[in-house]
Amino acid sequence: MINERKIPQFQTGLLIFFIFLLVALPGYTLLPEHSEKALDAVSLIRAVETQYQGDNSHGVMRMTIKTSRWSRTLTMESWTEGREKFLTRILAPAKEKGICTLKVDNDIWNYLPGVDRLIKIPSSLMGESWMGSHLTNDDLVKENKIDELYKLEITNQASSTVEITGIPSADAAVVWGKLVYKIDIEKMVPLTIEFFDEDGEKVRLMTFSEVKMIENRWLPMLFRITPLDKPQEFTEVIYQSISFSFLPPAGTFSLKSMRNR
Amino acid sequence: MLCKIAWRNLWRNRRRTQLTMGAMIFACATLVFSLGYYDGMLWNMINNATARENGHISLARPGYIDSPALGDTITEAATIKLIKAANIVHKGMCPRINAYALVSCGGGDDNRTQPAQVMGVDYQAESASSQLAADVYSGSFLSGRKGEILLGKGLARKIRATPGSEIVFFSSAADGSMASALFHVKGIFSSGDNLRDSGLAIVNIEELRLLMALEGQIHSIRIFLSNPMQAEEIAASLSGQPAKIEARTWQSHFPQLAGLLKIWFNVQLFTSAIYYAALALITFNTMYMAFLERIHEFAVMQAIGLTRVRLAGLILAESLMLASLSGLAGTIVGTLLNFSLYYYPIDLTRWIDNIAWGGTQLKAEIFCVPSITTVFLPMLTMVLLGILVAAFPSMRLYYLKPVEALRES
Repeated sequence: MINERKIPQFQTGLLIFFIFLLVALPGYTLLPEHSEKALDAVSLIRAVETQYQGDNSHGVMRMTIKTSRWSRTLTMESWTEGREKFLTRILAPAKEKGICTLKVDNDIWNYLPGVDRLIKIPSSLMGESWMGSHLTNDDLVKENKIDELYKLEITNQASSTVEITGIPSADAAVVWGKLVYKIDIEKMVPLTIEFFDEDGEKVRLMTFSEVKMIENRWLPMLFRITPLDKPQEFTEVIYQSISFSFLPPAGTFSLKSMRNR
Repeated sequence: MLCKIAWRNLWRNRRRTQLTMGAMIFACATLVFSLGYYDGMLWNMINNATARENGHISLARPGYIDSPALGDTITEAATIKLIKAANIVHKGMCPRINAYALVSCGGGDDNRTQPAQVMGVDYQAESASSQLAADVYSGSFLSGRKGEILLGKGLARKIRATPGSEIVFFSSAADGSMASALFHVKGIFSSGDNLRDSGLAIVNIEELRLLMALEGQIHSIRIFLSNPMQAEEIAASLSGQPAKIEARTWQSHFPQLAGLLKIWFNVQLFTSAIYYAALALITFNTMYMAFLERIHEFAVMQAIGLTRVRLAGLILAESLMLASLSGLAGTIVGTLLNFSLYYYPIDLTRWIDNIAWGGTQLKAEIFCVPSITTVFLPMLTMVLLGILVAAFPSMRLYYLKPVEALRES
């Protein structure tokens, strides 16, 4: 049996984008509010999520996946509305151009232009990796609810950075045994996220860099995920453009919309 | 001269000799059949275990069988060349490609999607060598046409597909690109392994190769041998080749069966011992009774000058003749029966269900495998038996005192 499953789920790309928005983007706008209060891990993460809700975004990103066997780059265009609506469409390479992923609430759909068909992704497949990238959908979906699934605590604090450690709640069905965030509290952007397995071993590292000011927010324009057991491999996402003043037209997040794009 | 006398002596009491020989022929034929039947059971289990998935020998890139990965391929042409160069006697070989994909059926909100292992096969090679085609119970097997897909029973049920249904295939190719295609269900198969059938789809190898960007490549090639017992020897010869290929035998896939094989010869010896213990008692009884009946005659022969050694030799010759002839006849009958059941096994599935055991199935049929062991072991044992049963009367004869014997009789 093949155990290197590489079932593509394009929603992951969008979810990467989403987590980026969730963790990094809204933080800067919170800075004035939080700078006046004592930093609290739970309220910080929750505030980040709250701040994100209702936001719309539209961006273009380039995702590079490097494995021991191959390396490839995708260019994707993404739209979001709130936390529950995502749409992403592959722009390049030409072979995959037009492939779309739509998530509305708990339903995820893929549109395959090559065969002009839609397929619905069952929730049981959220644990699969996307195109051999180093993230699983399950991880990313769970990341959306960090404040609900993990007990968050500030474990270290320096002048400009804070370290927040997340331990799964007793009843939380999560993959990771521990998460450690390092956040730049001046710019309110994440610097790194470390992922530990149930045995306490650090297995994956997510780093954020190239922080730029976009529409009055500091944004890390690049993040990279590295599996620590295969340090030569990585998945890297670079945002080429992003806008938060985007108002999605009616019907943007619909099945019909995927076909028409 | 001694043999001639022994032969005539055997037929002096025709009925007794016929009855004794009849019992010995029957026992020998039954033993030949039993040993062939045991071998048939073993072959049946091995072939049932290997017929669908593994073959008797699997050739793949080193490490692939234990930890398969989409990119761990071997070149098909080079592998076939290697097999041909090794001059292997085989029934057939089946190249395979394995991939993981989403398979989806139905449109709109009624869309059902499941992950599946998709196996690319050469439909002609599989039809000739493996059991894949025989497992199709609804629709038909692949015919090499574009867009054909077979679904396991459980998988078909999960996505509610029937023959003719449209299936969307979606996967990540070996170069990382995304592969999508439309298939139509050609047939639904049931192998009896529910786990396998609930997650396996089968398509034509060329189509999958194109989709998965594996031109000219395969993941494995399965060799089906005429004699599965030769697997280890052949695998060793293939593994020694300079090419980066690992040859794995059915023994490594089914250690339980391999363990059974190791004790198989001992089982055969034990079975023979039980048969011949009973047979030895019958023959000994016959020989000894004949000896007692003829003790007067032996005393006279000894009195007129026949040496003790020659007299003992006469008894031994009679016994050996009886046992050898019976052994030969029994072996011929048993071997003919074995050959008949090798080519024309009797199917019992109408009355008895197949039995699952050790990851395989014991098919309800009478199938025998003739082999050197099943032919020569009973014959050899029969000759030894002849010597054994003659030993005691011969010894008594050697120490026989003619005067006392004549007086007693």
